[in-house]
Amino acid sequence: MVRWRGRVPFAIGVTLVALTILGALLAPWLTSYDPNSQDILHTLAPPGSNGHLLGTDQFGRDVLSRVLYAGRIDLMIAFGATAVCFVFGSMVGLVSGYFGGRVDAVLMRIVDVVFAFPFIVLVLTIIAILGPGLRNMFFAIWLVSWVPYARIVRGEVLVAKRREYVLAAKALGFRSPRIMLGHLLPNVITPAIVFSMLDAVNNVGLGAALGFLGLGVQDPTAEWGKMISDAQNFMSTSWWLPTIPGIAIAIFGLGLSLVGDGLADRFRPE
Amino acid sequence: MSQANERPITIQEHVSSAEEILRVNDLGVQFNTGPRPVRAVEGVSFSVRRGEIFGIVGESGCGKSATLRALIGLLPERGVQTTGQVWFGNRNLLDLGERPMRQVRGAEISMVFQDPMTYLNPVLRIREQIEETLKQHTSLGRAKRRARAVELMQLVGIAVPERRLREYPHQFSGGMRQRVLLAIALACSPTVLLADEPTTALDVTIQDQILKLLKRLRDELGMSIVLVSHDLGVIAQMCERVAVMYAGQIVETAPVRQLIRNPRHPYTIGLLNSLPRTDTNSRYLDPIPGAPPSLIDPPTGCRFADRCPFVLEECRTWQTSLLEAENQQFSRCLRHESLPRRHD
Repeated sequence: MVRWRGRVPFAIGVTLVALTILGALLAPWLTSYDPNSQDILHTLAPPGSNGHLLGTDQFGRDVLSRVLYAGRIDLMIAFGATAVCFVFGSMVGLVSGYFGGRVDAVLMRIVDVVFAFPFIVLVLTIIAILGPGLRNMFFAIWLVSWVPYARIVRGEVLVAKRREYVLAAKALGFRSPRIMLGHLLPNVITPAIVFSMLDAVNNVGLGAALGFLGLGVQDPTAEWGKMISDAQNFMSTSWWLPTIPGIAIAIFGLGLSLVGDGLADRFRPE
Repeated sequence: MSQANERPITIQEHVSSAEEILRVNDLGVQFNTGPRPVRAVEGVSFSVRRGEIFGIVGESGCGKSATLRALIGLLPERGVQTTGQVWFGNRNLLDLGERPMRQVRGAEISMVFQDPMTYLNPVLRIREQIEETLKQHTSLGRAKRRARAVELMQLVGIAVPERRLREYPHQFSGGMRQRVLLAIALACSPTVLLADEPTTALDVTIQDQILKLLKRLRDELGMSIVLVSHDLGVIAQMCERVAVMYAGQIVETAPVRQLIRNPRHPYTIGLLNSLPRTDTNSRYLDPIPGAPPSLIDPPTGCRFADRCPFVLEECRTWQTSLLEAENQQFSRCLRHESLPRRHD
């Protein structure tokens, strides 16, 4: 019954993601330093020195506590931004693919328009109007990142709705919403779930890029991508500054990918 | 179905007697999806009696599946035009709105299909697929639905139902899947079961089991079955009455024994002659030469004329209709009286 061969990577993935989440949640108990308090006497201290387990940055801020607290922001970006896009995009794709015809044409033209827009330009525009900050960054991601889900799910629905079990469901007198959500969705959602795990990692990188441009998370708040871009001037002398948040992103990203693959297997019973 | 000789069957407005459960009048199905319309079904009329197994037989593309699907509105809405009437009780199913139609489908009339693998949803457990139907059409509570699901599995002859209900379709063999489809179709005790080539995807021994099961269920539950098949052998074994379809029309309808003993349409004769026989020394089958006409632009007159060994000049021009050949036997052939008897 239990096939360990397929479950080990999934278990590792869950462990890595859980580690990230726990680190972010338990940050105040895992470190005694405030992520923003500066220790001017010990700037750029290497890991292990002066009671800073992972060293300090150019302002003498503790890298361990910054990485842990940054996890809170990054998890929010990864899950908050992605979840909304996943749900909205999948629904659009489901409706579009199932009903087809005019509904499909209109929805897919909207998707095309959003796809055609250069992402950074759109984000710059939105933030120019609304002002910089985490919340507006969310708006920008929501506005743009649902389209791949719509396309993925629509493509799957176009194939699946010709399958006979949809006809059988109609022959049993089920209503369209029920057929869509109960019979089609479980058959078409797997690629979207797998994509969402990669998308979540992507969104973390996006947050970093926006932070780098000064449009995302604002100083002094810690965020993994921003920590890396802040570290670029000290990279040659203080290796730990870009490496530590880099490892954090790698752990989280690998974990999500493994979870994504594992979920894909679980949703496909045969 | 009484009528004078040499006149088309008169169209009756309602199910005429208590015996009749389903009456199809002048059913037509036209597909407008291609560059030119295809008349897949034309002028099909028949009735199904209570507790009867009614067969529809014909080759691929003759309109038998389209007829069956049209009955409960399962043809795609776009590009398909359905005409005529389907009387079920005092309701014309073709006039019924979407909502009342949904209440008929799966509850009063349900359907089983050809390939049982693809008609079961691969990601849902069997339990969910049976209980969902009960949830849709009955007010049974959770516990009662569970009990009913077990009962249905037993009814269609699946052993260890409690365990098998927890399994997925891929864990079932072909014959078992067809049983599951039957269990789902029978969940709400329908009065009519439409069976669209239910045994075509199965091997012969399993086919026999499923056919016997269908017959047993008919006897136990007293429902009517419309059985569509391309296999005259299956029809002969199962049905009381049969309609033979060719190129979108019924060409002959009769009680099944009468039809086999004394076919009154050249197409039926050809079908029967093309069956493999064990009682002669002939090593060859006797096929009908040629192919059915295109339904985009069907020929005027008799549609079988080009392949018919008994064809006359007027066959190509007459306005075809079902003519009474014998008691209860109707044929769409001008020469039904002069056709040779089968040499048995």
